[in-house]
Amino acid sequence: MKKIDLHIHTLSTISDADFCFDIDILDSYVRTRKIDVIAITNHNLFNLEQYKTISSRLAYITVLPGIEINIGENCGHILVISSSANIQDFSQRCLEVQQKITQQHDYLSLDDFKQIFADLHRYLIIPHYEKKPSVDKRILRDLHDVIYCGEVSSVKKFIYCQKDNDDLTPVLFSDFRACRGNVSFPFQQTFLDIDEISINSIKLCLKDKSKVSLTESEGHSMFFALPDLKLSTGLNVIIGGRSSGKTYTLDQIYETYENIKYIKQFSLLERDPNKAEEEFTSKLNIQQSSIAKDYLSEFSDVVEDVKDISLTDNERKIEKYISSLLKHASECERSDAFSQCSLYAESEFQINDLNKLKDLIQAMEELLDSTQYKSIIEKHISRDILISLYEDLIRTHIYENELVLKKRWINELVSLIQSNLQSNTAATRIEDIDFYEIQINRAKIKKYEKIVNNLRMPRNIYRKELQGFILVAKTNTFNGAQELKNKCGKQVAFSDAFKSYNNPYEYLQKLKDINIEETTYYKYFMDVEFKILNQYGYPVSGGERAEFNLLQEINDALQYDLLLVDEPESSFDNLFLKERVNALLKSISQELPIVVVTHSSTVGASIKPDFMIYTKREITKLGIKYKRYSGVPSNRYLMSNDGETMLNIEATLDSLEAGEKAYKDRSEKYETLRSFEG
Amino acid sequence: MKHLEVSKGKGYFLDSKGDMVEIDKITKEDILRLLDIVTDTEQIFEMDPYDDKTELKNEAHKIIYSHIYKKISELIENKTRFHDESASMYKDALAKYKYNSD
Repeated sequence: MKKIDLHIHTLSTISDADFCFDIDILDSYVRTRKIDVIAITNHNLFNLEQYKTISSRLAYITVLPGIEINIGENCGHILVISSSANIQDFSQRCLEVQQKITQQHDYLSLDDFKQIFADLHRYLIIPHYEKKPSVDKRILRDLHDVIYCGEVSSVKKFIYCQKDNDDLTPVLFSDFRACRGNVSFPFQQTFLDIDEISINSIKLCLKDKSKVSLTESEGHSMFFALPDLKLSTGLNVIIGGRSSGKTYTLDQIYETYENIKYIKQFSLLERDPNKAEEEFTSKLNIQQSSIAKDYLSEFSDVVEDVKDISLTDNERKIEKYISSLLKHASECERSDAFSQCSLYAESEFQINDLNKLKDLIQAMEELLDSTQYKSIIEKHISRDILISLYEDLIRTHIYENELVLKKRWINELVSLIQSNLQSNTAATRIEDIDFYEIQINRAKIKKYEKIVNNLRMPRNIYRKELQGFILVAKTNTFNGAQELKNKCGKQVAFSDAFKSYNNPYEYLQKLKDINIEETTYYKYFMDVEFKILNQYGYPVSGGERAEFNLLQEINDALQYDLLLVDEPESSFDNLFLKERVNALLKSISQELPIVVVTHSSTVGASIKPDFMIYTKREITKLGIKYKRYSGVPSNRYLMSNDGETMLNIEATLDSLEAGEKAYKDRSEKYETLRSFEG
Repeated sequence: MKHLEVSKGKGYFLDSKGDMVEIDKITKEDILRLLDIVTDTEQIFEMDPYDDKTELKNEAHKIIYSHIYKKISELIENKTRFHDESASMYKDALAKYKYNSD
């Protein structure tokens, strides 16, 4: 087994925060973490002189020359690692990279990359895979025959890629900056089952996922969470007496990694029930806002379509038309050669909308192109008829489109002639009007009003079982301007608009006068309220609310790389923990590592963890010493890092049952109670 | 009953009370009402045709009648399109938010 870390930075570049490389720190890191192979992979450059210095200082391990390159338009990162035998050639090629990438967002195209490195089989190429910024999928496909693994950013992603046959072999590296003063050494290294170290042996090993792991002996089911703490990639339970270092261990893990979900002790307990209920409802509304948005999406489209329609403008247009027509007619005796021209009183051609016809043609194309349902379609309509109909529609479209173009051209011409005639006559010109548009606008407003009135009828729009609770969404009308203001969340006045709340058309016109986003008008017609009910269909109590929150928080952990839970029993009862929490934790531990600190036998024992850690405070002559013993729950002994053992049963009974005597006493009591039943 | 009529050299329209009124007295409210009749599926808009041979001695009536006749004729021509467009208008929203008291 060799421990490798092929992603280390030793030079500060434009892509890094400024740092000052310290070779002592790198030496110390390699020694402390007992690493066998490292690669120097600075951003878009390779410094041969520095590499030689590092290699000579770390001569007790293998130091490979490498480079981390921005590749593709989205600047994904890719490591190119060479054998030290090709160092001169590699250095020359890296110089070309350096010349091409001079700014932070510069990148190599795939062609540039191939052209610079020529024979890619000579290198170990490792793209950022489940790690940002990741390399474009298209590039990965193109380079698939020279890529043997992909870099991931967390244990969770490592496990995920290990399990999925379609994923690349994952490797987890530190991305360490060996800078002055940095004594916090990362644990992200990967073990390879190899004896000899060379680019080829590493490549060969990476072809077999089972030979790649996060610990030396336990394969990929274990990883180092802390230098002296190995954990399962599944469910871990930390037990131990008071002040034995359980929470301290969780805190240490939390500080070591990024993207960790940490549910601290008592964090979900409610201190002020009223405030807690308000916060809960508000949080629920935000979390579930997509449900409300989905429900209102069609209405939102309607509002978007009618918001610019003004019935007042419609009437004004008719008024202008009729008054100009009447005036023009009354002036007939004043008519002259210009106003008597037929074109002077001519109105514009109405332009037909061909969208419906286009839709029909598209639908025909879908029918003709469908291979999946071809037999059903042809069972009812012969292909010849379909083609004939399609051709007819196309011909009609050509004809009507031509007509539209002609009408447009004529309208422009008539308009030009009219304005020329008008400049030579005193007669009033008749304002043009489109009766079709007027009627369509009125029809739209009528339908919009009908939709608003229907929408405002209170109803239940959503119901879903959620981890033993029921999430319901109900619509309600707004009861005052304040509710609208709360909905908006801004300091704007809705009082005037609310006066017209029951007249949908006027209400929309008034919303337009308020300083709110046009795209949000639809939200102010009715409200969607979310409630969590318990399994019996009643509103949840404070305790149930906390239970729901815990389950949600645990579920939310799927977005993270690691979940830490500190003494859930301090806030919740055993039945809930046993029936709901344990199952959820167990299921989520299939996806990411979980560490639970507990005193409770309900959690500690019933949850059937994959790995147990027992923390113990020992008072010695030299002072207080915190020790950790660990092992799989079925082991007879748990073992500390320095090789000491302790009986698993002893640790378990001490931590979860208040010692063997208390456990026996309790068992006897239960037996006595049971005997009454007999 | 006709909604637009030519009689004794003058043009008339049917007002809201059902009386035939001279066309030069037409207002915007009358126009809106007549448009509603044109686009109503239940009603048929009836009017005397107008062409060069139509006897409209009153010049002012001739201009007004001919103009309104032409505009309304266009709308009648597009009545089917109007109904197709109205029928498909906001169909999804109407179906989704239809209130069922059950």
